[in-house]
Amino acid sequence: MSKDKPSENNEETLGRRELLKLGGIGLGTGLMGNAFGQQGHRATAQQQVSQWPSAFDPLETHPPYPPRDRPKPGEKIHVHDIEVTIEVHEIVPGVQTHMFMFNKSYPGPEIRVKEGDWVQINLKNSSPEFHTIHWHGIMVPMEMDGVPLGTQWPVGPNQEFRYLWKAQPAGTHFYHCHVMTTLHQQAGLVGSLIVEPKEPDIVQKTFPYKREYTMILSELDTNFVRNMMSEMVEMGVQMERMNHSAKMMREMNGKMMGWFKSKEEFVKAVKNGYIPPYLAARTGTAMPITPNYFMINGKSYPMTDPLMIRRDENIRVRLIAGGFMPHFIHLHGHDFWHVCQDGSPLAAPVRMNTIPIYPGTTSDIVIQGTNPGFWHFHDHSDLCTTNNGQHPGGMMTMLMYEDAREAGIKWEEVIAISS
Amino acid sequence: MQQISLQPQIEIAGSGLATLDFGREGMFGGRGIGSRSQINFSDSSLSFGVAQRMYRGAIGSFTLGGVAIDEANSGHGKQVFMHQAFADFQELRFEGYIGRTNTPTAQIVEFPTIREDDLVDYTSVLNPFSNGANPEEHRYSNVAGIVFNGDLHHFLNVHAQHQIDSAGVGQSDSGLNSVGISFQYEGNPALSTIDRFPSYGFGLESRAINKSFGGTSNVFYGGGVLNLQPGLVDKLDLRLLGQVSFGNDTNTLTTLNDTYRADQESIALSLRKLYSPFGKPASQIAMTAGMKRYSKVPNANSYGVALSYGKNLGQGFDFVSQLGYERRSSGMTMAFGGHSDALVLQFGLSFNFGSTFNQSIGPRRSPTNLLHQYIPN
Repeated sequence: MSKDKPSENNEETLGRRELLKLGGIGLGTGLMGNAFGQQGHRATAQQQVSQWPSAFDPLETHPPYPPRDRPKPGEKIHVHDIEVTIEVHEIVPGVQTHMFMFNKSYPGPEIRVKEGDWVQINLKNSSPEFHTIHWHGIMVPMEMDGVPLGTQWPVGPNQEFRYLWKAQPAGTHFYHCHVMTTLHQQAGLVGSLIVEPKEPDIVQKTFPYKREYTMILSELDTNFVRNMMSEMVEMGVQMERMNHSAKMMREMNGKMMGWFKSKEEFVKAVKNGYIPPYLAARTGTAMPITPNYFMINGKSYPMTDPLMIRRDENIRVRLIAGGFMPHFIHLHGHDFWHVCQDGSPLAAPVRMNTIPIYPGTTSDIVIQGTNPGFWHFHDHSDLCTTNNGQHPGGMMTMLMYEDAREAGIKWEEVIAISS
Repeated sequence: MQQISLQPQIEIAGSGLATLDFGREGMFGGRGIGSRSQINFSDSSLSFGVAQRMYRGAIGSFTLGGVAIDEANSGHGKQVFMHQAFADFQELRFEGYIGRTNTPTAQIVEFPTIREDDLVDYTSVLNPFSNGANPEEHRYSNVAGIVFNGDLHHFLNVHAQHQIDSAGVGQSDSGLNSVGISFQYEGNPALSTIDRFPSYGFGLESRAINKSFGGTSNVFYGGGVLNLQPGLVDKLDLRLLGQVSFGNDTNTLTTLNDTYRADQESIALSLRKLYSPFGKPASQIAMTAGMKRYSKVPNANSYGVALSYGKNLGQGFDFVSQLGYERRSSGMTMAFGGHSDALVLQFGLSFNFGSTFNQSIGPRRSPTNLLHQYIPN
């Protein structure tokens, strides 16, 4: 993290502490899946076995700064205004869906700050539903964690809430609404959060790059979102109206739309005849969630933005799993370096060409311009390269060499877009 | 024109309603309730619909359905009446439909009696061409209509109908016999129990009756819903439908058809108490009453009342009961087989369901679509 530094005399092999971290990462990925764990093992097995146990630092995951600090006079605070509204989003031409949005954008605006800086987010809720923001991967004070009815009251329609936290640790993170996450995150409330290291970036030093890309990977069941969102909005509209009537509020007390103040109240309601939705039907849709669109930054192929590169150039790609499904991102014609996981630099870059991205995780990779042409970059879980069941589509884009022509590639003869 | 590559959205909806009726000799709600008891499954229906997205975001659909008619009144020897068979095309501000479906005059107000044709003489705009054997002829007709909407709340319906002419009183045996225009306001469905006036409407219909049967019958009708006690748990509402028909010179009532086309004024009122804890309707009690008089027929007036109760037993499944009474003055009894009154007590069960397969089209008037006014995916 911010304390990570490459070895003074050999930047390419990285330092001892980074090697130690790989051991930790390796353990974690072992839980996530064999493919990831085995590739990490391939690169550094010797060092792991010989050095990890003796150098284990039990304080390694401590926040760099005390999370419960408050800003001191003169300290700079980055202020962002974020408003939640309901908007119409087009995934691909002709396919529109209602979504919740941060600042009328899906994904929400990227927040990029320096490690150790103060960040103030003024959340304004201009939708008929409740919302919060959870800062995924950020070591915030508990009250700023954004878990509704857990660490804060949800922010109601026309209400505002101010989040304040110190940006730590450095790395690729994201933020999302934590109210009824199944719906709200899927329905658009997710955005990237990049904390740049205070110290020189180890990735930049090792793989000098000028261009970087952020890719939020997500999925959407248009039927689920449409139906559940409509139900939620209906309740929100009703509650907003009830707020103007003391009589209706009294009348609803204890009988509110299947929301209960305590476990005991819920049990009592069931005894009195209330049928929970999970008994009568799975959800308002009466169907399990079946995603039919798979997106990169809110768009499905062929509407996804390509990654641009030139020969001998390094580009950094920040992959964020902002949905609820794992994805296996594969690059044609190249290997790339996996350099960071969940924000933290790996002890040593891992060479791969397919990287698993599990829900809630982030992975940074560096692609090197070694093979001019136009290359597919996509989820290798084939379901996710479809649009409503039709291939090609979904979570797919292209790595495109801007200087392909100079390299002798006659791309006009082979490239076509189909939908 | 055939394209089969895309599977349409498929919807199936149904309503099963069966009651045990105990009646005193007479006629209630247009149906014959004799001195015997009967098991009554009329108004049970099953509908099937398919819908597909069209070019420019429009929606095309077709619906087909049948409703069971009263066994005692199966004058045509039919047990099932095709009440839906229509094609519909809609864009954001325009809808066109053609086929058998609800007559536009029956869409202003729905009353909380257990069957649609209970107290039909007051709660529906009557079909002046019907012979009375099937009260469904007042609710459904062959229609070609276009509907313009403003902000998906205000609807203007211009239509022509061939109302079923079972009495043979129309100017021709085929073609269009009725034209009309109606306006309807529908509020946000999320606030249907909270808004003071969630819906209302009015319309004018002109029906071409053969001169030998009194000539043209025109009717002006209007009504709506008033939430007397708005709320989400305990709610009290009032429903109202008033109508005035004019232009027909029938001055004696000897058949049921006479009672439908003769000039008349009627009003129907309903007071409904709905209890919905936890956001789900649990029980309902309603008192519906109607009265009418015939302006050109001496001593011809009537009234009817129904006390209805329903209790939800589970998802879509209800216990229902109703006590109904109708009384008619001497000028009307001949048309009703000599019966001046009718009394019926009913107990039963009802089951309503709807299911959508390959869902790809959202409802137009969901709260979210009302926000942005677009054709939903």
